[in-house]
Amino acid sequence: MSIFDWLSQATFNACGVEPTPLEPGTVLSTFDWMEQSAVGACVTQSPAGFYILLAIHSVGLAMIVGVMMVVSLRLLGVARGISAKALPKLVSLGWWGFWINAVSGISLFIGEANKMFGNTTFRWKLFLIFVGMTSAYILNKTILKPAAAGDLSKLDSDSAKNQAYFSIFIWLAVITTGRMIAYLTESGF
Amino acid sequence: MNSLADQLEPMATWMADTWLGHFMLGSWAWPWFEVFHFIGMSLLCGSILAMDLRLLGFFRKEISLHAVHALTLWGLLGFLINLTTGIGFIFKGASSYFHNVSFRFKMYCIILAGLNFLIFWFFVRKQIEPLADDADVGVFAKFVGFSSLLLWFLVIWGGRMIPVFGDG
Repeated sequence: MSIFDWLSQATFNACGVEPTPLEPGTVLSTFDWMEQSAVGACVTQSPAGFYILLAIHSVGLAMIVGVMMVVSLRLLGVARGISAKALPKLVSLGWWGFWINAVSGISLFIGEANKMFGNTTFRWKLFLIFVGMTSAYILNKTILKPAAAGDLSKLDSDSAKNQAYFSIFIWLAVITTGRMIAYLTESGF
Repeated sequence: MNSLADQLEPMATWMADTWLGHFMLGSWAWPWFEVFHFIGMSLLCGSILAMDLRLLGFFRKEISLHAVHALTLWGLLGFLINLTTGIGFIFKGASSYFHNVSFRFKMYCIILAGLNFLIFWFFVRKQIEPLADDADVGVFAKFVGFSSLLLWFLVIWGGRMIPVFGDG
């Protein structure tokens, strides 16, 4: 038994889920293989696995979106006592939320790979997350870090305000598409 | 088997028959209420995360102890959004919510978090008012900050687990 097989078996056992028996020589598509793997099966078949992951996913969401909203609000003039030095640190906290959600999100995807990959709203959500994280990176690099290093004029620039509005808009759009995945089940882009 | 939920049954029937209960049956009301419920959650949790981490002693040099409380209003706005949308959810399926153990857990946690906030607002805020911007707060204020973080985490957890224990 390889280490991979052992890990797989241990995961099945831990979740109390039976592996799907396969005819010898069956070749699965990548997404079918994902769904039938130990992770995929535990996500969809263990009693609470799916919802525990969703709960973790919601906590990560609150971290990344919440922190980006606070940072954006600060750039728009709220809570000015949050100093320039704090802003890049808050963004790092948001990245923690992002990684929590990357791990929980990939696990959820493995469980429902076929259904999710085809879902238009899901694709929009992934695209918007990419835009959101890229804009967070650019905001950090062009405004927040220079401001933390002493160039405070950056914080009151028009660019800072525009980026803050954009960031709020993108993260609201991420939440909207994320929630709508459950209701808009059309596939294709 | 729950007497409180059973006692509330007439109220649940009444709620489902109000205009809000009927409105929530529309095909788009529920999904859009969920979108706003999550937006409110992020606003609430983002504000709370910054305030509570500062109370616990993180970002002491970077976040002024007093200015961070400007976020309280935004946290309250997030809470109001969630109260409004949450009431919408309950009007549609009051009976199943009242019988749902995870929903009840979430509500108890919200009540405790609300009490915790009142303790912060009426006691802790006065305690920390004379302190310097980068001061470390006392053990009691830290405890209030920690319980706030813990309780809101449990609120998210309880809310997400509602479907495991029934409809919603």
